Amino acid sequence: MISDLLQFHVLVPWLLAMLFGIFVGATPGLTATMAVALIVPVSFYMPDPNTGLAMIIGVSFTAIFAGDIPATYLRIPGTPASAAATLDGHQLAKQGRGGFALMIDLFCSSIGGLIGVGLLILIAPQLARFALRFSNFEYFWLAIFGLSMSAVVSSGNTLRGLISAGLGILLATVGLDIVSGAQRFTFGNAELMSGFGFIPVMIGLFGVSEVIRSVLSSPSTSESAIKTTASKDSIWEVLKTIWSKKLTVLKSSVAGTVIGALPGAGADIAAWAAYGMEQRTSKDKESFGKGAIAGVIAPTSANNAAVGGAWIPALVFGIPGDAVTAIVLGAFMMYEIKPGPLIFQQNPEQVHSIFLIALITQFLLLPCGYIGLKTFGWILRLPRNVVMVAVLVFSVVGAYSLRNSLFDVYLVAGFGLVGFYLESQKAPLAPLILGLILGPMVEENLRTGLIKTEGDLTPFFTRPICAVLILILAAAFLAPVVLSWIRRRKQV
Amino acid sequence: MSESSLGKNRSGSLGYVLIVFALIVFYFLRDIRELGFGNNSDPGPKLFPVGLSILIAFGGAIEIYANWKVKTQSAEAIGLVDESSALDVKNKRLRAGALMGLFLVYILAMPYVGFTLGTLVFATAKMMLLRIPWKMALSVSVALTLVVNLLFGMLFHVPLPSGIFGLPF
Repeated sequence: MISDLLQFHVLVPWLLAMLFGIFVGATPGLTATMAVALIVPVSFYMPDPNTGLAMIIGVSFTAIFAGDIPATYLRIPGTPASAAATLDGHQLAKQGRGGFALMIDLFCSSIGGLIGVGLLILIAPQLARFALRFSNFEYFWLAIFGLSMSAVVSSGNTLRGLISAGLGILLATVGLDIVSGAQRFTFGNAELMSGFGFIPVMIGLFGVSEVIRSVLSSPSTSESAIKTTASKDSIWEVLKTIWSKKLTVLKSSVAGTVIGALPGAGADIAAWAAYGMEQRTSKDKESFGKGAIAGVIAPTSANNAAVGGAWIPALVFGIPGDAVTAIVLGAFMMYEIKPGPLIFQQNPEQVHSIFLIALITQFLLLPCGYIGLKTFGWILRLPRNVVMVAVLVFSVVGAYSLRNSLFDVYLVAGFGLVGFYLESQKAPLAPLILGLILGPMVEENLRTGLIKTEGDLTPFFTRPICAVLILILAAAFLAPVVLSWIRRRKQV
Repeated sequence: MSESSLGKNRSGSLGYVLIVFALIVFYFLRDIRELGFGNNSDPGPKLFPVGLSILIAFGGAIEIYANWKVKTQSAEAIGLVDESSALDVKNKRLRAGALMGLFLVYILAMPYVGFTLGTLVFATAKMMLLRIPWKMALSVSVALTLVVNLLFGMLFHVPLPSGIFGLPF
């Protein structure tokens, strides 16, 4: 199987896609989500599905690492997952050790990714066996759980997150009703019969809206006086430093995987949590924020491990952990891969291919990341507005090429405006995407469950796994309220 | 002005927009034919749109209330914005609005002018609008159009719109 993936016709597009991921991730203002959304249409033109999957998975990992490059040199995180890397990485860059910090970052990202994927390989099949006991009732609550968590932990407040998720589910109702076959909000338009195309919505929300936001914000790249010269420290020095902090790498990677596996909690939260955990347990707390090596290792190991972690619920239950995985899941559906516990029994070759692709990606990240570090100066020399116009053109052609339909292009523009408006109102977009993906799952399982029980809602609450999920859900919503009440009481 | 500070200037219109959106959804619910469902315990295709539009309208009402509560604080904050930064924000908003306007013209005109000509003209115009020197804007547009045509048109065989001029690519 490895030999199939290491063919020239697979490796070349795979590496090119990873370099594209580096380019997008390292460009401040462009996110990993956008990189994946833009590569998906291209991936459909590959001769075999594995090449397309390799491109998509490769981009999702490399863009997260690449975001750390401007975070270190310019204190501008390339992607939200790199925000925690700005703290100590940038301080090291100011001390003239930016290259060293980024080499450590590159190796830790690769190791973190390996640990994340390793845990995915270990946990996912076991979890899938357990998930075989799930029926409509459990899947209904699982989807609700995923949606709610994305609203609770996403940026902005919980209410806006829930509204965003609700909008996503409502958008998912457009088209033919999955249970009855009735038309909903199609207005006689044949192109709306199959609902909103997932990829055009995604490109609009994350590509076009970011272009508008970017034009509205002032890039401050010229302010930087940081030299982007190569590191004078040898690879040996880098590896020695990482070895001396091996426990930090391990702890942060495991924490990143676990956090990444929680629906809604993506690489950004994983990076902050790992940084906080390392700082709290460190003997040298004062050095954090002033160029501590552990402050570079912890968030950068965690954010790439979280990408692997996000794959656990995505593959086992079909519940994406974050927006990037949501897009990948959407692409899977277009490749006719249906994630869920049965995929491990019915299509194990496909699962193994995905695992192998994710593993090999961690090794390919090293040369691709190294090229990214070397060419960062070139990326910065490109005027940002030129990149933005190129993103608009690629958004249009990417959406059009899916079905050769201009309707999809209009969707891109429409959802670009919607995305920009919602973000300007501090409403997070990730729950909307999860709503769009999980909406049909929520509706289908609720209605099928009700048909099975002849309208009786009791099993939705009394089955043991359902009850546990409801309790966790209640705890997630009530915990912040209770904590703030306790804090207020302490202050009084 | 930073991106984050721009983000803070939210208009507080979200609540109203959500309520109007929920009302529109409610209005178009009448187009969904029930097809006689309900006998087999299926709550029917209207359940989710109805339930969600009620929840969204409710969320909108809470948003309006929350905004009304912080109204005085926002008024103070607006008073702190100096004239030059306000002008800067206005200019950027105008530029972003013009860019989106051009983008909409680009995609609406595409069936008539075709992808190649449209991209050449509009990408150049968009870059010039974003203060890229015209020579650079033109050369980048040519390169961009070539790359897209090579990648999608020739390699992936995507029939890009050729327009009324019937350009062969």
